Amino acid sequence: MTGRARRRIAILAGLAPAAVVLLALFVGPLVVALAHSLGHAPIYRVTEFPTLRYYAAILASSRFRVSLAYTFYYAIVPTLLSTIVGTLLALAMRRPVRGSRLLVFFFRLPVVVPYLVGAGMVVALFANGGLLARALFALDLIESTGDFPRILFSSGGWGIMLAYLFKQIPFTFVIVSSALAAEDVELEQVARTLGASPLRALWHVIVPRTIPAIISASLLVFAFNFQTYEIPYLLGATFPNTVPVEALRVFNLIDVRRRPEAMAYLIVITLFSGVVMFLYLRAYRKWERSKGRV
Amino acid sequence: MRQELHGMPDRPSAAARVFVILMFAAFVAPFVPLVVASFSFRWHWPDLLPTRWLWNVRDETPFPVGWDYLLSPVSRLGSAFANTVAIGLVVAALALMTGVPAAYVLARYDFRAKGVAEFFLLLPIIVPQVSIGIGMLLLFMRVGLFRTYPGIVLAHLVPALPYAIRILTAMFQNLDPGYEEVARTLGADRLARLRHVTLPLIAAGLATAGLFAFLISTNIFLLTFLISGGRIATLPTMLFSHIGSGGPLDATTAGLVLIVSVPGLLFLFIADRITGSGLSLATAPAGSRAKEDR
Repeated sequence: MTGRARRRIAILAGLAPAAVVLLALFVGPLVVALAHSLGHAPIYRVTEFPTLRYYAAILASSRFRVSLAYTFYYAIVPTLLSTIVGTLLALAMRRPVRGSRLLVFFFRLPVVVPYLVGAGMVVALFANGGLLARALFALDLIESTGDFPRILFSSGGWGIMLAYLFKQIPFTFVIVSSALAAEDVELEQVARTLGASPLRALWHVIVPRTIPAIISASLLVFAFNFQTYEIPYLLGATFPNTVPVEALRVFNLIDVRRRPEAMAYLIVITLFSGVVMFLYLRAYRKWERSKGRV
Repeated sequence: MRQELHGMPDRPSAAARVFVILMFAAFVAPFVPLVVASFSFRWHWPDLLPTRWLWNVRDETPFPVGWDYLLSPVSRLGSAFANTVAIGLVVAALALMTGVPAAYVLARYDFRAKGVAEFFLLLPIIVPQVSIGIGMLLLFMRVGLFRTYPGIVLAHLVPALPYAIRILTAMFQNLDPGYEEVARTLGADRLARLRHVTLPLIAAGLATAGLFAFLISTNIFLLTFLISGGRIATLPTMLFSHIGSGGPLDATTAGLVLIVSVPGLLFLFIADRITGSGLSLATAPAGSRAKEDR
C-alpha cells in the first residue's frame, strides 16, 4: 500500500465514528423534518411530496409572522445587552487584583448551570407576587400584586430576556476574558508608559484583541436565543410567543395531519437563523478586510 | 504619572470597581432568596420574609415539605439526580471515544475536505435544537429508542460531541509530536509511547473535554424532554415541571433550583483542579477559536 493511500485510510478511519454519529443523529432528524414539511409523512397519511403547501400556509398566517418577529426581538435584545455588558465586565476585570479569582468563580457559575436556574430566579424576583413586587409594596409604591408591571407571561418578554441575560452576560465575559492574555495587558502598560492616555491604550491595544471573541460570543448567544424552548414557554405569553413554542404547540395538537406544518415552522427558523448568522459573519469579514487585518 | 513611568501597573478605576461590584451583586444575590425560600413553609404576599419556617412545622404536617419532601423518596429527586449523572457520564465516555480519533485527524492531517469537516462540526451547535429534536423523536419512535436511556444518551451526543472535538483538536494541536519522536528513537514501541509519553501529555485535555461533554449533557432540557416522552426524568426536566406549576417563592422549586446548580458547581471545582487556572472555561470553543484567529 502506498503512503498516500494509507494516509487517506487513516483520515477516513479517524473521522468515521464521529461522522456516523452526527449523520445518523443530526442530519437524519433534519432530513425527516424537511421531508415532513414538504409533504412526505406517510404515518399521518400525508403523501403529497413534493409540496410547498405547508410553507405557503404558515408564511401567509399572521400568527407565524408575529411569532417570528417576537422570536427575533427576544433574541436580538439580550444579544446586544450581553455583548456590551459582558465585554465591559471583561475589560473592567482584565487586570487581576486581590479577590479576582473569587469574583471570576462566581461569574462563571451562571454559565455552567441550566437556563432553567435563571428562569427559577426570574420567577422568584419578578413575578407579580415576587420579591421585587413585595419590596415595592413595603415602600408603599404599589398597593396590590396587580399594580406591579407584568414582567412575566406577557409578550413584552422582559422575563424571558432577563433569564437569558443571567447566563449570557457571564458567558460573554468568560469568552472575551479568555481572549485577553496576560501579554496584552502588559502591552497596554507599555503603551501607557510610552505616553498613551488610558483610553487610547485600551482602544488600540486591548479592544482589537477582543473583537474575534466578541463576534463568536454574540453569534453563539444569538443562535441560542433564537431556538430555545423552555424559557419562552415558562416565562412568555401564551400568545404571541416564539416560533419554537408555537411549533411544538402545533406538533402536539390532536390533529396529527398538521404536524408537517410544525416541521415547516422548524425549517423556516433554521434557515432564518442561518441567514442572519451568515450575514453577520460576512459583514464582520468585510469590516476586517477594510481594516486590512485579513 | 510618575508611578506609571516606574512600571507600576494601572489600578482599575473607581468606575470599573463599582461596575464589577454591581455585577457581582446582580449574579450572586438572586441565589439568596432561593436559599431562604427553600427553608420556608409559609411565605405569603406581601411578607418580605417567611412567617413560618420548615423547622416550625416538621411535627405538625403529615407529609414532608420543602427540603424534607425533596430529600424523601416521594419527590423522585434521587432518581432524577442519578439519571442526570449516569447519562452525563455515558455521554462523556462516548464523546471521547468518537471524538478523539476525529480530533487527532483534524489536528495532525491536512486534507482537502478539512474545511467542510470543520464547518459540519459547527452546525449542530448553531442549528436550532428543537428542529433536530422533533425529527429525532420521530426517528427514535420508529427504531424503538423513544422513551429509553440509550435514546436520551444518543440525543445528548449531538450537542456534546462537536464541543468535545473542538477541545480535543486544540489539545492535539498543542501536543508537540517531537516527544513521541524522541521516545521512538530511544526504542519505545507503540504501546510504550502511548502509555508513557502521549497519554500523560493529553490526560488534562481528555479530562477537560470529558467534563465539558458531561456538563453539556447535564444542562440539556429540550432533547431530554422530547426523547424521554415524560418517562425518564433528569434534573432539568424535573425543574421545568416545578417552575411551570409552583408559585413565585415555592419552597420545593427554590430547593430544586439550588440542587440543579450542583453539577455546574462540581464542574467548576474539578475544572479548576485540572487546569489550575482561574479561567478554565477559557478552553470553551469560541475562546480557543478566537486565539487561533490572531
